[in-house]
Amino acid sequence: MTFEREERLTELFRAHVAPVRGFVRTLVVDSDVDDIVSATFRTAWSRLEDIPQASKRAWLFGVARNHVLNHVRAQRRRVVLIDAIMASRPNEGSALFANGLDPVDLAPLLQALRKLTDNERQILELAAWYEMGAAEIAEVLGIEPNAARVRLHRARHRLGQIAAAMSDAEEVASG
Amino acid sequence: MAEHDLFEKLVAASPVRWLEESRLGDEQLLASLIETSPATSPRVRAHRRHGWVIAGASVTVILLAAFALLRRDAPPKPAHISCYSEAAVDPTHQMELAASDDPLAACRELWVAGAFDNRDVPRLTSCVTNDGIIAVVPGGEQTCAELGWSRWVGTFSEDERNLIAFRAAMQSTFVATCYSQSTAERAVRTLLSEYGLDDWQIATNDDWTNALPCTAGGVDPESKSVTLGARPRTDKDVDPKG
Repeated sequence: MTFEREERLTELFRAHVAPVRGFVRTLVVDSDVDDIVSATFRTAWSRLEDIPQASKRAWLFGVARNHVLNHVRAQRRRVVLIDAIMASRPNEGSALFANGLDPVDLAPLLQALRKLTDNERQILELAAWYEMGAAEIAEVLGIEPNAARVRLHRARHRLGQIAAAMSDAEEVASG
Repeated sequence: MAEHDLFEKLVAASPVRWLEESRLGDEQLLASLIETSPATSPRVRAHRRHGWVIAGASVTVILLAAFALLRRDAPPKPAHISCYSEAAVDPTHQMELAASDDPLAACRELWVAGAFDNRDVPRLTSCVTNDGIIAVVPGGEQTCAELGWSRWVGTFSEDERNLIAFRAAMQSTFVATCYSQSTAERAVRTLLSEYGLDDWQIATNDDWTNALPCTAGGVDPESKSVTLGARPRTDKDVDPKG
């Protein structure tokens, strides 16, 4: 039984440690990442039987998020998804973005993202980067799937509204 | 810009591929989780300890080798630079970048691209934090001292730059590609040659197995060697080209 648990943890860890670390890196500064990843898998180890088989990744993300909220000082939670985008390939000469995106072209999106709340940014990140649906997002955030669906819709709408308002303001400013 | 287009642009800008890099210490973390758990019986622990000692030792060797580069250089941790939104120990925004030849220029580029709220690039200065990281903060000559840090006016030597670039090349080579022991050695020899490090040695641990078929690499400038060790295959791994 014990050996079987260890095998299950090993399988879970090897399959998910990289995504969990990637997710945590969008939430906290690098110096806190390893502590959060370690705490997440310690929780997983102690609650192995509670992990839903159909949504292991979302369950782990939810645990990681809770550790961030509980243990990391608020002022250290400042690496948000914009920072992660900006830092994704920073060391490639002047080409900041390896995905073929021009920094200037991306700037309006980054500016709009900055004006969203942390929760709005996070729900967009889960949907856009991790291709999570409402059920998985709900698991991460600890809310009902219907609430996740509504929040995602609102976040996308807010992003569009903010970008449009910024675009209008620029047009007025430029005469 | 339409709501749908913005979302699609966000999808396209995903940094997940780079955020999810594997770490050489992952297997050690897994081993420590299992080893320290009260759920583990002494009999099973003894049976498994031998394997973990071998794996742990090899990982430790690789980690030590990887960190040797950091230990050697000044400032102590030149692998990262950190761009601060304001001259404060705990700024509102802080972005960590991999080391580059010109930290000021790298951070200035982030300001120009709109990473911080204000696109007007302030005067920037380079400090070394108490953690040994180069921090680029808005301010002048006195700013570092006001924050309790040292001012960093140095530059990397040509050799240090070459080592930083080589280390980055090693990392990008092995992070998401599953090299066997033999193909890894060939790839490292090619890289060593490309970076003019022909007098370096390659050290390997003979611990490749079916469960650990891929290769992790560490760089040790002190001994002028690259240490290769086995690691498990992950979902992200692809096979080497050619």
